[in-house]
Amino acid sequence: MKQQASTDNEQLPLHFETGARQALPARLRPMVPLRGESPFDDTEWFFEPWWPGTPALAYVEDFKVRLQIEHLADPMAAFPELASIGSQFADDQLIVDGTLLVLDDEGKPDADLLRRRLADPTTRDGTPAYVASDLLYDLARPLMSRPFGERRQQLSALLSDGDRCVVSRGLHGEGTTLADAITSMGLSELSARLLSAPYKPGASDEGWLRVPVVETPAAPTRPLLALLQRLPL
Amino acid sequence: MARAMWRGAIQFGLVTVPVKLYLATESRGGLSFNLLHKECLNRIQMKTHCPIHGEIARSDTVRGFEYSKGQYVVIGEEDFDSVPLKTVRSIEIELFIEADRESQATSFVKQAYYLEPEAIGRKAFYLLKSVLADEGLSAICKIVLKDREALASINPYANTMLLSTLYWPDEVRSTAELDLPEEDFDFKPAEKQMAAQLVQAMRGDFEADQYVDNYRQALMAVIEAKVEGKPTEKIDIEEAPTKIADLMSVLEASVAAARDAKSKSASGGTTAATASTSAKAKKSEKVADIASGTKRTRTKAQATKAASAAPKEERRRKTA
Repeated sequence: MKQQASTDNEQLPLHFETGARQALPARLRPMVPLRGESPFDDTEWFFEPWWPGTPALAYVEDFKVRLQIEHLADPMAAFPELASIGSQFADDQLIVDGTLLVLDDEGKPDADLLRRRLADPTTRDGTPAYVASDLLYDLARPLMSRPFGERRQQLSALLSDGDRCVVSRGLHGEGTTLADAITSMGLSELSARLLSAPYKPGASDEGWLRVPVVETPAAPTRPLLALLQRLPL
Repeated sequence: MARAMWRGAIQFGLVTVPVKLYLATESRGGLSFNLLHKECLNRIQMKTHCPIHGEIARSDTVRGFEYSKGQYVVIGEEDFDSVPLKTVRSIEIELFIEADRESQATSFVKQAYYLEPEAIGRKAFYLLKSVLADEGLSAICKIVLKDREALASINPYANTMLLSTLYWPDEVRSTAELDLPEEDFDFKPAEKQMAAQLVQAMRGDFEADQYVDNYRQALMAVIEAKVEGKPTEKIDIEEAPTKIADLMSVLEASVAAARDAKSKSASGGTTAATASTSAKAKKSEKVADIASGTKRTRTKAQATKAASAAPKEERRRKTA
């Protein structure tokens, strides 16, 4: 006797069911941050270092990772070490915005090593690593219209830190403190994200600023002492 | 090559092809160990022991068949030779079947043997092989091996043919004992298509020599190390350096340092002491924020601070 199959929820989930498991877009144009002027404090903003790497979108499809880097036809050939980071994500069918770094032997990001890798994909110097900042798709569903704060929270929830891939660290509200911190690390820019801002592929928006921390002539509102402390001595 | 374990002839119709059989496989599944006496590490002996006469030589044994409880009839080598079966010393081909995977009958293989034609029968042997190959057929046959008549299939294999002994149908258990659903499942077209895509993505040619018994190799390494007197270290799975995590730690430390410096400047400056303490309270919360990388909830302190935040117009001006 042929019965109707038992209801789906008694069965192990078929990850590809619901028909909603569309493929991810083959290519997404990354959002381009606007140039900011100087670090600021604002509780509606999130600040993280602008890592000296190359912006990269990471696609995780069928638990396999594919990177998209501007002007690089086959990033996975240049950075095969990153093929394993897919296993750090709790979900599949997702797209992450972030920065690809190449670390030197001491674990510091090295722009030269990165340039060499980009120029010659067969080079294997340094240790590539990926710092994830934003979640654009999850389970093939676009999240780009959601506020940044929510996307970031979701990213933190589903990406567990690993050897080659972490969620980026940052501070809420305290742009100037972060500026001080990264100056002491020898970094020169920070990324400021408005918590309520959407992600606009291929566009720029005041919700995402790339802010230089190297001291430009005095911001008049800031106390002189704090300013002096930021100067490299 | 190893010793032939059987000599006889393939027979079908009026054709007789004299062949030898060789074991095609050897079992290396596990390494074999010997039992030793724990105290002195001497190998223990399994002695043949008669309850009446005590220890006896293995050569003083015969094979007996228990036809009723405690009643045995002794069967000697000569009795095996006199078994009145046509299949003794011959491989009797019963029929030829399509050699596709549909034929469940040949799924349960006991043992595979290589066939080697005697010089005199080579032509007939390869004629049979080429017919099987061209027609996509398997030969089903019977053969007596080690006192037992076995069902077997013959298939072309590389430059010879393979004889695989099969389980008799009554030796194959029924799937009725399993807990299997009776209903048919309805798959959505999308599900089927997805599954088909996944399978398609993983299709490949099976190259058996790419697969090795990793457990056996690892165990062998442990044994060899022990033989050479090395301590058998647990082999750690190679861990990639956690450099990116280190970098994040550096950032966290820098933030803590920057905060320290700021709070010092605040208390040393002209700002009111109350402001500095409330700032400190906030700081400890936010160190946790940056350290965990996961805590993203905004605290009340942050929310109240929003009131004093720079007005939106000012922020706009910060954009170049």
